[in-house]
Amino acid sequence: MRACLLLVAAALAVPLAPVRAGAQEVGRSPLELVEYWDGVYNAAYLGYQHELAEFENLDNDWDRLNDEYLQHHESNPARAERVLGEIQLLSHERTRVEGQVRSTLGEWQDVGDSFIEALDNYLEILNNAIRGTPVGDSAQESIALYNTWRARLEEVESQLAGSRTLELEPMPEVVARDDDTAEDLERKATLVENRALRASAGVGVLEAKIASLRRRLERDRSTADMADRIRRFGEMTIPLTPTTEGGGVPVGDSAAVDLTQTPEQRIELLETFRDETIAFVEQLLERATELRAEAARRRT
Amino acid sequence: MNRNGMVMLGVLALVLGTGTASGQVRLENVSITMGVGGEVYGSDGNFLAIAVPQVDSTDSALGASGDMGAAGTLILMAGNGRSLRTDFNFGMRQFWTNGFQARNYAPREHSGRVQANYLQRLGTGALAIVPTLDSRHVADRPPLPLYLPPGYNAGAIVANYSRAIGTDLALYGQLTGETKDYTADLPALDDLDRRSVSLEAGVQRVFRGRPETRDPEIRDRSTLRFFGTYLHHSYPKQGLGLLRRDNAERIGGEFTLDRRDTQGFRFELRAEGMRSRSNSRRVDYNAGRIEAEGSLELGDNTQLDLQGLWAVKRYINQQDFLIPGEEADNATIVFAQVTRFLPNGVRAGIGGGWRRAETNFSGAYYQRFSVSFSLTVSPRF
Repeated sequence: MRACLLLVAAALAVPLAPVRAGAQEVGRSPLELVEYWDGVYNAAYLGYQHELAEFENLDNDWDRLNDEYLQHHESNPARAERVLGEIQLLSHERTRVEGQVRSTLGEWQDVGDSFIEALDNYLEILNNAIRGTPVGDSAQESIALYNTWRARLEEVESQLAGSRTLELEPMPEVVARDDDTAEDLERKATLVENRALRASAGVGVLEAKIASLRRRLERDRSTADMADRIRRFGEMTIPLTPTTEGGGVPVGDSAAVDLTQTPEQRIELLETFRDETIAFVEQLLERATELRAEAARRRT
Repeated sequence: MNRNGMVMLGVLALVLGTGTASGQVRLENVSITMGVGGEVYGSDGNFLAIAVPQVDSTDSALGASGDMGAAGTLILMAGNGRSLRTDFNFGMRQFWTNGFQARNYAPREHSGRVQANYLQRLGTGALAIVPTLDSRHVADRPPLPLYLPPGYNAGAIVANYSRAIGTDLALYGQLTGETKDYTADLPALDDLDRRSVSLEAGVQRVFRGRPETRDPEIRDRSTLRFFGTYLHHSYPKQGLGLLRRDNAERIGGEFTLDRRDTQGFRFELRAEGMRSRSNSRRVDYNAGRIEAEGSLELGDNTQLDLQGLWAVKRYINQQDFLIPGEEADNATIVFAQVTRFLPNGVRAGIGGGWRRAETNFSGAYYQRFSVSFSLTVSPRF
């Protein structure tokens, strides 16, 4: 029994002891650890921003080409055809970079969570130090450090919070001015309609994403159905060796603790965003109709 | 209702109450299933299971069953580096049988399982605490060749700490305690009562493949895990004077290949070997087990799911007696189900299974074939 207890203690010590290779904590003070994560966070944030900027450039080109196509598809079909070819070429690259954006976004968010964890620990240490230190230079230094890193924590939390929301682009400020001619208003109406068309295309993308997530959820559930039914009635139990009831614990999946969005929640969020986008399209079309009506009125 | 059933309902009520009060509770992945099935049982008539109430001399029998069940997840808390969820799975199955010599049995099974899972991020690692309550009751339990596992009340708690030691590489340690009391409608079942403790350590590596599969919206990945476990089982009612205590070491590996998002399939293989030694030399044995699971998309609205097990056990010393609950030496189990996705969250499944267990002692065996049809609905809340 003693040998067994020793084996248990040794086996328990291995995973719980600080890991010598590759662990960020080893040989670092709490401040050094925070500085380390700060560097990693900055790199991840810049990586994401770089990919996002590249995507936005492509997206702008894509929007511009779409506008061009809409402009010419009736008046100049040959040119519209050429533009369509360019859109298709760009489409592939846009999808690839969009994936890169999601990838770097995920990395940035993961690193951000670790950075926040390190900051929380360090701020707690500083807080305890400030409470236990008499007023003086040492306390002032701790307070200054606390304020600096507290501000950084708020900045990081605010950056990450912004990354986890779905937002509609603002309603364009396109209004009928007194000096606008009827042609000006027609042009403005076309601009607004083009924006509505692009937003409608976004609805299509959202619908496809929702359908894909639903399909994935259904398939996961189907696999779970069979496993649940087998477990429910002990179908895998045989009188051969003892069976245990524990298990099902994820291994090394520290991301699982931040289940801020389950697949069902993700679908709900996307559905809400889709509905908001549809409402936005309706508002745009309404604005375009108003502009055209005003143009007609001024023409007469 | 038995005591553990009351405890389980109490835990569920507590969990629901807590969640509602905090306003964060979400009920997800609820599945309600109803199924019917037909079965054929066969044996050579000599397979003996000590913990089965009667003996019947028939070599074959027929059965039909109807079942219903519900499963789902309560998410009570998620975010800020921690999460708490509770999975539940309840069910009932009624059999009708024909072909037994003594009489035709009508066994009815009730089962319930509630498992909470608390996860807390700790530095670069995560701590998981997983308590489980599990209960099973069988009325009119039949003799072989229809083997239905006996009823029991079980409780287990798992503490798991895992820690990343590099990109996509993690170590973990897991401590499990479990108590299992078999429903004593037959004196021999008391022999199966067990207290267990196990300690496992392992390492897991995730392979993400091509750079584009790092896209979080694509789940394609492979994982490879190796583990070693020490297990201690004590049987407070087995043995005369000197109660049985087993110590076992287990090593194994698990490989998962997930290509659901790009190629429409997932495959999981787990293999392990165990060396079990007891204070009663007649139950010293070595055992091996291979389990496989897979799913394959068959078109847009259909999926094939598979699950299988092959297990073998070899005693070290000559066996003059059967060990209760461990009468078989080899077993093979295969389940397959084809699911068709219907509108409004309804799934229709046609499945089949084959189970066979046999002894080296006399070459005796029992086996069971089954086919079933089920309808499952997942309501949205």
